[in-house]
Amino acid sequence: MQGSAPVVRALDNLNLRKSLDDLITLEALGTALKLAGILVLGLIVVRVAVAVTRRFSRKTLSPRTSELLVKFVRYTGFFLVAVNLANAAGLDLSALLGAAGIAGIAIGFAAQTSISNLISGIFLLTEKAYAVGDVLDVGGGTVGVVDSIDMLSVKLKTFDNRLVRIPNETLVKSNITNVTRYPIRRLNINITITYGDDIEKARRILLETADANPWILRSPNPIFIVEGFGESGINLFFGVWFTKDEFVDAKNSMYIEIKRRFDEEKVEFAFRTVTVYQKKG
Amino acid sequence: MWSTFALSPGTTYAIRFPGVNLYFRAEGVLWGVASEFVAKPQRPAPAAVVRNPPKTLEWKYSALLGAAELTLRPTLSPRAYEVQLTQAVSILPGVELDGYVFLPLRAEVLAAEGTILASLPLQRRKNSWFGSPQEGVLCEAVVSAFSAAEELGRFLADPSPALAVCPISVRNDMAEGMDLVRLCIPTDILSVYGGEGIYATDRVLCSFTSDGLQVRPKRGMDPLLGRMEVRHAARKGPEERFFSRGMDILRYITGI
Repeated sequence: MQGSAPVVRALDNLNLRKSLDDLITLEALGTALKLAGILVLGLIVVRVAVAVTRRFSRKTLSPRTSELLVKFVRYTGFFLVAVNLANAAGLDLSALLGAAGIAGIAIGFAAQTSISNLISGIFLLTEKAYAVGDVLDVGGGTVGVVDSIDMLSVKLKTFDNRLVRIPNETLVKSNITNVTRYPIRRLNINITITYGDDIEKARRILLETADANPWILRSPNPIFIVEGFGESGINLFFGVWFTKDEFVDAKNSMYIEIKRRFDEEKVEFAFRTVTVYQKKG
Repeated sequence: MWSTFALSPGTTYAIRFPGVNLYFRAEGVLWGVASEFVAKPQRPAPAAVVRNPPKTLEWKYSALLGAAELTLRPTLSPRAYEVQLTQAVSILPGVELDGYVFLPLRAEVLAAEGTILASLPLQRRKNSWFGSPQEGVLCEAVVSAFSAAEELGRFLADPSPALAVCPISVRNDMAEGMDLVRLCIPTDILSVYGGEGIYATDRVLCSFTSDGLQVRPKRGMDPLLGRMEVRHAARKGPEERFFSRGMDILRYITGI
């Protein structure tokens, strides 16, 4: 006790004791409790609202729209809780809003990219060009499965298990190919046979190969086109249809079987040849 | 072929259908099934013990439920059939044409208590697509003649246990004549009937309108096919069809 006496004396000298007494009044304690109540209750309400939105939107909306709606509800909820807290604390919100206007301009300049991404995200959302689970080819280079669609970016999981984050602004500016949008796809096979080969025979083999392949659809019919006479041989195009989930099986089996049948029936694949003439003397 | 048989442990059984041999065996707490498609059609035969089953068979094993007693029941493919006709049939506007097509059956393997253990195709499967490449139905491809009553008579004289006769009525409700080349027959609305080695489905009513193809079943047996019993009831009854149609309309209106 003796040790604390100089401290009390020093507080009295600084008039801090009185200030502390003034600060911890019954009214201030009530305000603090009110703030805590609003915070706890507000967070519970936000949590419930998010859970309800998620539950109902999952059944009726696409996963992408549902997730964005959930995020919208969550952030709006947080904003309302913050406004209520400020109101309960006795802060003058009109002054705060005025300041927020000026701050908004400053933040707008600073967060130009983020806002651009956000607005781009809204445009992409309305276009419905892709959904979670689709395979996208962005700009002809990045290929992957859409893992999540967020406010500022889209995350792709590549086939070698890497996560690529693509800002929405980049997506708006890029060519996006949705590889799995439609239930069936065409496998395009380009073949060059030598000039000594019979085109009709090659056509028959290709059609038989497609017909015997269980992954290739009978309808739409396979398409065969003689594309032209190339430098090294006759260029052929053969297109067959398959369901999008069977891409690997369809592609592998078709190429393996075409090679086997061509070898069996002595149809030669052409390769680049150069004829060299040697001048005598 | 379509019967109940008991599996003795360690013994392999084979059932012969025209295009496939089905093998079954029980090993301890497991039972196995394997299929072997044959190039040339063969005479069908019921379950028989096989001493030396082919070594190339790919067995699929499952846990044995209850007694080692299996039942083979004829059923249709879970997918719709895309029937490609061997010859195109011209139908004038307002004309209704009656005929028969033949659909491949599958063998549904049931345990003693009625649990479905497997569903095995009885011919090599080939998938097909009915509709535009953007929107359509994945089907099982079938090639069939559009037979008249006389041709049906020839089939009934020597029926195949792997095919079901599907009576069909095609109506052209469009303003112009049409060539009937292919049809999409949904299987969930059809029941399979059987009697005296002949299997058949409900009659399918197809109507080609300017909006597309509309298909609905007409319950009951065709008089030419004689008396038959239900072997496999339709997976979708009239109430479910009405409900799913309502949901489709709702989806179309709301765009969800």
